[in-house]
Amino acid sequence: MALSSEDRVREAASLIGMPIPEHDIKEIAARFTALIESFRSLDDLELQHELPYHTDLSEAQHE
Amino acid sequence: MSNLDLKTASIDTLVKAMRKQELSPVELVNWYLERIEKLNPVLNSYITVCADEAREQARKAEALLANKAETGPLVGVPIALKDQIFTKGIRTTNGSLYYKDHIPTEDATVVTKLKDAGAIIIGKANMSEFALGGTRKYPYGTPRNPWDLDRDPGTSSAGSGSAVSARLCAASLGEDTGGSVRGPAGHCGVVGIRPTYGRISRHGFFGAVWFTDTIGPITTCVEDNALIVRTISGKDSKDVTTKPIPVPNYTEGLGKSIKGLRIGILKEYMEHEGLDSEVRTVVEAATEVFREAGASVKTVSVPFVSRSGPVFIALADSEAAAATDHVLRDNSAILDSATRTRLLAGSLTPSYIYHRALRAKAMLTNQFHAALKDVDILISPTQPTAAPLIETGEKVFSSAEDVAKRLHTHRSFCASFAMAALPAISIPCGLTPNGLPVGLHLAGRPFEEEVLFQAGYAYQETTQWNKSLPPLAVS
Repeated sequence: MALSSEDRVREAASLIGMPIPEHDIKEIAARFTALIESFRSLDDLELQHELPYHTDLSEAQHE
Repeated sequence: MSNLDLKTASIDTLVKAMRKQELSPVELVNWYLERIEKLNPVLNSYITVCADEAREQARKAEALLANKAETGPLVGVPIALKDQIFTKGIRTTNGSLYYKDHIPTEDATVVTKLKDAGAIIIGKANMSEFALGGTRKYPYGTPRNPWDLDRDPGTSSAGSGSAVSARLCAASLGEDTGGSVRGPAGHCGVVGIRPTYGRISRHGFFGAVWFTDTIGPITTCVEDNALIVRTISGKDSKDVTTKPIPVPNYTEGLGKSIKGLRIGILKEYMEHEGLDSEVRTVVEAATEVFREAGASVKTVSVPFVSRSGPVFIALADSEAAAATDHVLRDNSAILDSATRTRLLAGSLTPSYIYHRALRAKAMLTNQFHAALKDVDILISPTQPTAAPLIETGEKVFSSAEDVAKRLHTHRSFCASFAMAALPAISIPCGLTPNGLPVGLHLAGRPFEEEVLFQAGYAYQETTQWNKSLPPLAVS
């Protein structure tokens, strides 16, 4: 059976040893799920040619 | 007391009056302190008011001026600092109870530069916790918007914006990670700039997100903003991210014609489904002012901007979670619930999303730079709506859809420019039908702040929107 989003948060937090108050689980799960789903909606982007670390073009412009 | 209208006088006007001894620095400081005493209990603009220190500095300034001694361009000018910026011997809380007893042992570089220029630090401005935005229960009082006390002044430099708007200081410094200077400036009807990343030293402040944190001033007019940016800019050996790029005298460029300036209206923001129609109307009218002044105005596209909100959240929240890991593990109960849930969610960001976000950020930057080959300035609304009700922001996120709608959409506006490391300024451009300010957002090429000041000043002098005061500040 698939884990609920709350259970996924509990499991991920447990793996990295991050203590998460139980009363915050629902909201953290909402934030976490929103991020995952938002990135799923960006699957159409062609990003393989974008260099993730060469982003400071301002520096290049002034060299 | 001088005959000057202290609510609308520029810093240069104040300084000239003080140099001619038509205005006393002590009187000026006392004028602001009296306003703070009356209005801060309502607005919560300040966490700490430095009344004794400010009066002492004002007396020193008065003595210097009386002796015709050489003084800096900000002599006697009372300035507030976001409580994220270190002040030697003065508590600096980062908007959090976690740092309620934190007293720095040295000034931030920007504070040293302000003091060297003669400025008087009048207090430490309220802010959302850890400069993240979205705080629900502010530990030092809920900051309120001078234009409507039920509304948010904008985050995270909330007090820096409201204090300038209500004339509780002559100017302030904020810090902009993803819109934290421009947002409060827009919502409070004042001028706020995010200078180019690397223009201003960040030595001596609580960082939130290393790749976008930028200190910037909030002022009542463009010329004050230009003056302060020049004063606090430059390479700093204590901050490796600062660049050895000459700092122009921005003030000299003010008043030049903008005829021939190429302005691009950002299509994706003007057509954004989250953009309030009242805000769109005001911004459209503002673009006509530039056209009438001789600028060439056309619509341009930066396709990814409207989808960039989650990219900012992925990068900023995981960075901020890493920076506050010790707090999250040891004492998260002390934090506001919005701060805590946001950072804890950020701490779980998967590496594949972080890496993909870095690539998307690079793509966004490239798209901005391509657009800025055809135009000199990009225009858009600073925020998609006027200042929201405070109670709206206090609501807990109930679902992933709620997060996407309320947080990701909002973040797609100011944050995209921050991710691309562009300079950007918000200037007041009108009011909605129910009397709330709207910010006009101008962004330019890296290290070309002078173009933004020139265009912003031309707009300001034509429209005079910066002279509109919130009803609370008129009295």
